[in-house]
Amino acid sequence: VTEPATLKQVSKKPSGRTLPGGVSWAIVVPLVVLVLAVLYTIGAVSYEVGTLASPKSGLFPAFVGILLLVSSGFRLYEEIARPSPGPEPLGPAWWRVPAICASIGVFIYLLKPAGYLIASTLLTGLLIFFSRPPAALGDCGDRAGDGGRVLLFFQTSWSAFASGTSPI
Amino acid sequence: MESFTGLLNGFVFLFSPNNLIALVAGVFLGTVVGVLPGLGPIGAMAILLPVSFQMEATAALILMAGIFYGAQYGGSTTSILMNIPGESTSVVTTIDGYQMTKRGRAGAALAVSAVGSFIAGTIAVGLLMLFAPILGQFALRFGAPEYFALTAFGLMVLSRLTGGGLALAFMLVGIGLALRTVGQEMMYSVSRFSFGSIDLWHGLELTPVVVGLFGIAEVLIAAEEKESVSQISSVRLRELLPTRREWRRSIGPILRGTAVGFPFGLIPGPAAILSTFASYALEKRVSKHPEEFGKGAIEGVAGPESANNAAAGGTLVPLLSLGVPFAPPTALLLGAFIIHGVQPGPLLLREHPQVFWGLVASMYAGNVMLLILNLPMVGLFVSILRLPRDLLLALIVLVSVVGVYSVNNSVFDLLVMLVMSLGGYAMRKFRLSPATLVLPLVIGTLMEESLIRTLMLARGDMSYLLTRPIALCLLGIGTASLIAPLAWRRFGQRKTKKEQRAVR
Repeated sequence: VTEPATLKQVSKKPSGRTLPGGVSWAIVVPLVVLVLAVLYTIGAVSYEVGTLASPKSGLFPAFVGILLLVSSGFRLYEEIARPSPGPEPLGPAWWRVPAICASIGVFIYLLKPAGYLIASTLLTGLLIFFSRPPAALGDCGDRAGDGGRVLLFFQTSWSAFASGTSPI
Repeated sequence: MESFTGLLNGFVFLFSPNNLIALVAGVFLGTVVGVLPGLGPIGAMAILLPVSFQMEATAALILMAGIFYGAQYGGSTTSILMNIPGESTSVVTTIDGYQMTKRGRAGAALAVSAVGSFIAGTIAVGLLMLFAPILGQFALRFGAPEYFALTAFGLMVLSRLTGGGLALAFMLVGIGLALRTVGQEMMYSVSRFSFGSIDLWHGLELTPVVVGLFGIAEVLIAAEEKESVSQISSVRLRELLPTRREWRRSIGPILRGTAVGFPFGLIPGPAAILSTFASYALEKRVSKHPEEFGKGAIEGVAGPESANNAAAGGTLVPLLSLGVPFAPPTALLLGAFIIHGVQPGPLLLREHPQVFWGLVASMYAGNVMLLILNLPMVGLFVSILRLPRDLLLALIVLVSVVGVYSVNNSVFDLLVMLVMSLGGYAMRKFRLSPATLVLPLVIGTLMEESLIRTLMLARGDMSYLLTRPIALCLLGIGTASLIAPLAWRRFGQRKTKKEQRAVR
């Protein structure tokens, strides 16, 4: 079976960027997990573990901690011995990722003090703005129109589809 | 006879307004996400999980299942018309489907694909109806050791889906299990890793985790790419009729594709994708005109499209009868079952017969609806691709955020969702599968409880598991599924070395 042309177009090569010393960025994952595994295991054994014949609430987390320690340790060794390619490169509009997350953060922050209606309207506005920033002042009107339509569609479809669940 | 009565009851149950609306919405949305490249059934199911909360369990599961198998239908549309696979399972369809479009036979390709999907989907539901109760009856013999072995088997099998090595897979499984241990445990009511927080004391809800890992993370990945404008071919209704010769050439591949696809669905892993490649290879081999493949052979569309639908039906067998998902979408479906208080597995037929038979009946009716949706309304689905993608992404984020909040009116859930979104985004960047993280989250509690009970029963002697034939069998198959690919690779390497030596 031959690979379709479209797949070739969309496939991305790994960035191949490395940390100082030529170590692949992929090493970060097992390293972080190993550190967390150590903390988790210390936390797990702080609960009563019991024995195999009389297990207590800390036994299962202790097993999970051991699994995490062994697997992340082994993965770290694998990464050092045979470094795998680094992460996928960021896309051309990478700034939208923090922008969308920040918009959700603003919604979460404002939800209680400002209320659902204001928070969700602001979230819609921010999402529309960040999805395609206006190139010229004239675009602002179009963007506002888009935002209004999305908000209207969302509010009406939400009410129709999940009646009674709207937090308004 | 019992199955027939059950199915009739299922249809009676299905024809309530709520269930019918859920079915129509599910298959429609499934087709839409199938058509849209980048948004898959897993993401759509995750996004709609909070919406389904207020629905009755059967209606919610009909909606979720509709999205799952509806996406298999929709995926072929963009493959055929635009050479862009809407779903990973439609990659093979691009090869001959798009060539048919170039030759002006797009309508025939779409019609054969829809009819093939319908036939395969319907046969697969029949087989599911036949196999799931038999397997379920067998699983009624399960006690705590068997349940522990079953959950361990599920984790071992699904860990192969990560695509990386064993260590990586177990690392992700460990993270999922660790997240599950947060909050109050059931045996001794001890609160673990909650750091005095009431929110953490309740444990992590599945919905914000799943919406973050799959829904918002997929949006983040899609948002960082620039929007591209594609040439979209249009198809008129009268062009949808294949010729008599095209029908004749399609019937064999449709039936063979079904026969290939269903067993693939019973194999753990990316079964639906593999089944399409297997079907394509088979059709090319048995065809009288193999030279036409790659240039617009209708068999190259009919076979794989039938195979992926049959495989989708097959993947539901282990889920409904054993409660173990063999593929990422069914892992999410398992989450939906559990959120609605329905535990799929051996007791599903006994405890929730209306859910099982309602779901089976909905799949029969759903396949008919999808046939109707995918033929005359193909123009509508194609026009969805003309919607500005940015607005669509904004709408998805809005639905996800408000949906998660509306489940418990909890700001903490939103924070969990946000953290999981970033985690899901990072995982995709590092080519890790978030599905490997979700299954331990879903079955972690059952695993812990059955392990503790087994240890108490066996007085701490783990070799007790080896004296239980079913548990031994499950653990044996699970271990074999872990070791077999490694052994196979070693064997392949040794063979290549021998061949190289022989050449020298």
